[in-house]
Order: sequence, then structure tokens, then C-alpha cells
Amino acid sequence: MLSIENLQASVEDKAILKGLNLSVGAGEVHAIMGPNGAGKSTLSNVMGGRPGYEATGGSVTLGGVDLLELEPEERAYAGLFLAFQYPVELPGVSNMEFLKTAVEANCEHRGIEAPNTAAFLKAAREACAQVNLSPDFLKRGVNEGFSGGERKRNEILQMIMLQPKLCVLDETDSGLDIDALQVVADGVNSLRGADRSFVVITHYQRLLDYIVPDFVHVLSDGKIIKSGGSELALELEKNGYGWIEQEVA
Amino acid sequence: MHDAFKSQVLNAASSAADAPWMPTGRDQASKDFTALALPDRKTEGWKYNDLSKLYGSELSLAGDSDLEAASGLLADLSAIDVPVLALVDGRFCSALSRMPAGVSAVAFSQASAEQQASITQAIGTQARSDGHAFALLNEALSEDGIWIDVDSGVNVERTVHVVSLRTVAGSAAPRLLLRVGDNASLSFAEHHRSVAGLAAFDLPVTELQIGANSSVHHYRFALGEEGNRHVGRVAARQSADSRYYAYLAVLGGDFNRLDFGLDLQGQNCESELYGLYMCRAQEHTDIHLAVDHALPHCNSKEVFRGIAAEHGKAVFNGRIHIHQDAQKTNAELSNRNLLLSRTAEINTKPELEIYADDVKCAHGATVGQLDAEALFYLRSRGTPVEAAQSLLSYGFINEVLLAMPDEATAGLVKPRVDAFFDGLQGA
Repeated sequence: MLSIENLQASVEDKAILKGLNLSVGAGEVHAIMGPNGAGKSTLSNVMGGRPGYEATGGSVTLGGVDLLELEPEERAYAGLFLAFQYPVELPGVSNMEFLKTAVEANCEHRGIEAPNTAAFLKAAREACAQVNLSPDFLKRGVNEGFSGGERKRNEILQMIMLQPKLCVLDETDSGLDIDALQVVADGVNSLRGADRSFVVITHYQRLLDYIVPDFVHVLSDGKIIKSGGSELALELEKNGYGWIEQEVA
Repeated sequence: MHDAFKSQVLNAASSAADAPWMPTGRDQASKDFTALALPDRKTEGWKYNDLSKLYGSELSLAGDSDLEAASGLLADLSAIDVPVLALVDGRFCSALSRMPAGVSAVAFSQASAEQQASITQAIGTQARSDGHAFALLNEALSEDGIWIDVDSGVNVERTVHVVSLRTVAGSAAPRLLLRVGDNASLSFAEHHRSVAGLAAFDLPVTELQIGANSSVHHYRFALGEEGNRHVGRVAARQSADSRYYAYLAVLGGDFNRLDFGLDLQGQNCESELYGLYMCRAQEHTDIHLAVDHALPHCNSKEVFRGIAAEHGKAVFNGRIHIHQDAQKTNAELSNRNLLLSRTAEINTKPELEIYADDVKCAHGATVGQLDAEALFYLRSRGTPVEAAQSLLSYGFINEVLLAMPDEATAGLVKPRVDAFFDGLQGA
């Protein structure tokens, strides 16, 4: 599904990713953990194509498509969804309008028929219920005046509506209380399936109690330095990152 | 150029129909106008205006109207079945009007002797107050107008629409005069529309007097077309404890200028003015706002949003004058602008003049581009870049649309807002 090979990236001329390799099979959930400054957010931003985050070497392919060559919207059509660490407010743009435009563009480019208005509304309301947001949120401006937890749930709502192949969650747990974490995790778990994969980027093990990963990777200084099963996350929680960094050094 | 323009005005005035309701008479107004030094580039309030667009082309009174075209311009209003008073090329048209119930509304030309006396008494008292040249020009050329008189204690439930339509080239100077008594309420909309590609020169003037403890909602949509020039004036005055809400939209047309004056002449007034202006192609729009706080304990809020694309050029000047007696004033002015191309231009200038010492006054004016973070967010969801730009730009002015309480009336300007973004050139 996803193959990252020898990925290198710089931000403002400073090398952040220094040859990162990652392979994610269909239906798998991979967690990427690491200390502050390891390059976790840079990885998600480079994958999403955020301006200012340019890959300087290596490749990222999703379902055989080279993502790095594509515009951000084309990456979405290829099946990528990036849940933002800090979802922005779009004042005056209604959530409904925003979702509808996105769903229609994705359907068009993926060659599937877009839902009619009634079907779209129904799906949007169901998705709201699933992430425990009142349907009134559909009428409000995107993230306008939303609390931190509401913004993250709104990200999962979009994920449900857009049906991506690969979801990258960039520190989605930051700033969430346990209840919101549970809702977010439930949303993610409901989307798990044989043809959808997840990369969950997080600083803390806590989220992984709710979204249990198949693999855990440790990112340090721009590279993956250790990989293992979900038990690795528990070990990190207990002992911190220092021992692995020492082990590798 | 000024002399040629003035002699055209004199010619046009001499061919205009009688307007016995004008207190000074047409001849006097033409003379007063031609005696004035016309604004030019050196005049502070006009320095951003390309006045060759104003004085450069021909000025003559509009000839016989095309009523079929006029009727076509009313299709959306007919569809929502609202009261309409129609002025076509500056003259009242009863065939296209649906008179409102429960309020005295009449064309000047159809008014009874008693009504004409009231019109003569009220007209010009506000619009001429600052020697506004184009208000005088309106008097010199005006052939008809609408008089709406709301008696004290009367609440006019349904929005009354006054529509000024342009169907043939030339000038028209419609006049709208409203008086709202005490403890009354009124919602009215004025629309300025034209057929496309018409060398029409519009010089409308609106005067509004709001009585004590009354409430007025005023929509003013100037939806111009290529070839149009529009120089409008609004003068509103509030009495004590009154509430006034205005919603302005200026879109399209080669040249737009609006001078909007609000006088708060009583205590405890509340005023909210919302406006949006959007220019593309070679369009030029200039909005000059002047709010005068004369007495204490009044709140005013002005929210204006502007967008310029392609070679569009917009000017916003918002002046708030807080006089010495206007203690405990609370005034807030916000003007934000969005530039959608490198060739577009926006000049904004908030002006606060404060002569009272116990007031709260805030203002903010910005000119910027679309937020790169917001654009990336939309694109990451698959929204194509052009659609993302439209969504964000629409969101930018949506605050003004959302402020309009009458949704059906707001719906009359939305299609033009949508159409603005179609096929925009250049980033």
C-alpha cells in the first residue's frame, strides 16, 4: 500500500528526515513514535505536500503512485488523508459546503459517482453521529469556534466522508481528554478494514491503548531506528526513548 | 473636461420632465451645480478615483425605456412575490410595480398635492447637508422618486423593495425618500440594476429619517453591469432610541462611488452597517462612509469586506466623527480586504475624529491575500485550488451576507456574489 524509501527532507535548509524507510501493507495500522524534534510532523507534512516541506531525496508511493510528484489535492485523489495536528479555522465556509466540495472532487477523480444531495446529507449526518458531533456543526464555519476536541472529531468526520486508502494521523491525540480520545479512536477503528491503512503519529502511548497498532516504529533524528509490535509502545512509555537511542548509538 | 461635463448637465437638465416637488427647482439646482468646483484628483475624498471615467463620457438624459428588458430584470423579485416599486430609467413604472400594503408608498409623480407638500418639505434636507456635488446633480436631473411614509406606531412586516432599473443609455437620477415615524418599524431594500453593456449613468439619492424608538432594516444592492457608472448618495438620520441596520453590496459596473452618511441625532441609538464590495475586470468601486455621533450613549458598528481581483480597484474610507457631546459612545469599525491578483488594488482608510473624552472606539483595516494554511487544508481534502480559493473568498464576505436577517432578500445578491468568482483571471 504505502512505501517510503530513503526519504530525506529539509525545512528551511535544515535536514530533518535523513533516509526514512517505511512499508505499510493494506489493512495495517502503524504507529510512529518519537521524541520531540525527531521529524514526526515533518513526515506527515512532506507526505501531505504542505508548502515549505519539500522532499530532497527518496520516494513516497501510495498504491504505486508517486505522491511526491503530486499537488496536495491529487494526493487526496490517490487515497491519502492527513488528519491535522492543528486543523485551521475557515471562517464563513460552512462545514457542509466544505465537505460536499471535497467529496464531489474526490468522487470525480476516483471515477465514482458522487452521491446526490439527499444521500450526501444522510451520510454527513451519520458521520456526525459517529463522532459525537451535533448535526448543527455541519452548518457552522469549518472549525470556527470549535474546541480542540471538536476540531479533532471534525477531522475524523472528514476521514469518514472521504473514504481514503491511507490515513495519516498527526498527533491527533494532542490536547484531547480521555472522552474525546475515545470518540476519535472509535471513529478510526470503525474505518479499519482490509483495504485501508493507518499511520498514527504520536508522542504518547496513550492513544495506542485505543487504536491498537500492528507495528510500532521509533523515529529519532530523521530515521526509523527501531520497529516492533504493539508491545514496543508500552516499553517506550515505561522507559522513555533514551535507551533505544543509546542502543542504536 | 469639467466645463464640457457641466454644459452637458445643463443641456440634460433643460430636457428633463418637470419636478415640481423639488424645493429649489431644477434650474436653481443646475446653476448651483455648475457653480461648484467639481471634485478632481486633488480633492482629498476623490484622489483614488479615475475621474476621467466619470466626466469623460457623454451625459444626456435617458430616452424612452425598454419595458420588456425592465421586466426581465425583475424576474428574481417576481419569483419571491414581494412588494415592488419600480423606477425605470429614473421614472416610475406602475405596470412593473406591486404596491405594498399597510404603508404609504407613492411615486413623486403620482403623489397627491398633500403628499407632494410633504415631499417638498423633506427632500434635500439631509443629502445636501454637506454640499455634496452629486446630490446636487441628482436634483438637477431627477425626474421621479419614491416616497415611503411610515406613520408612528406602524410596523411594516414585509420588506418593501424599491428597484431602479436601467434599460437605455444616458443618465437617470432616481430619488428615494423615507420617513419613519416614532415607535415604528420598516424593512426596505433598494436595488440598482441594469441591462448588460449599457452606457448608463446612475445618480441615485436616498434620504431616510428614522423617528424615536423605531427600527429600520435597509438593504442597498448596487449590481452594476459593464458600461455602467453609478454615483450614489445615502443620507440617514436617527432620532433617540432608534435602531438602524444597513446592508450594502456593490458589485459590477465600470465605476461605482457611494457616499453613505449616517447622523446619530438622538441618545441611545444603535446602528449596524454591513457592506461588501467586489471588483474585477477594470471595475472601480469607492465607498465613503461617514458616521456622526452627535449625542451620548450611542453604539455604532461598521463591518465592511472588500475583494478585488484581476485589474479591479476598490477604495474604502470610513470616517467616524464623535462630537464633543457624544460621551459614552461605543463605535467599532472593521474593514478587511482581500486581493486576489497582483494587478488588483485596494486602498482603505479608517478615520476617527474624536472630540469627546469618555468613549470607546475601535477600528481595524487590513488588506491581504488568502491564508496559505487555509488553502492547503482545503486542497489536502481534494478541493481543487480554484474551488478552494472561491470557498475561502466567499467565506470572507459571508459574514456580511449572514448578517442580513431577511434571507429572501439576501438571496437576491448571492447569485451575483457566486458569479463574481466564475472564470477569474490571474493569481
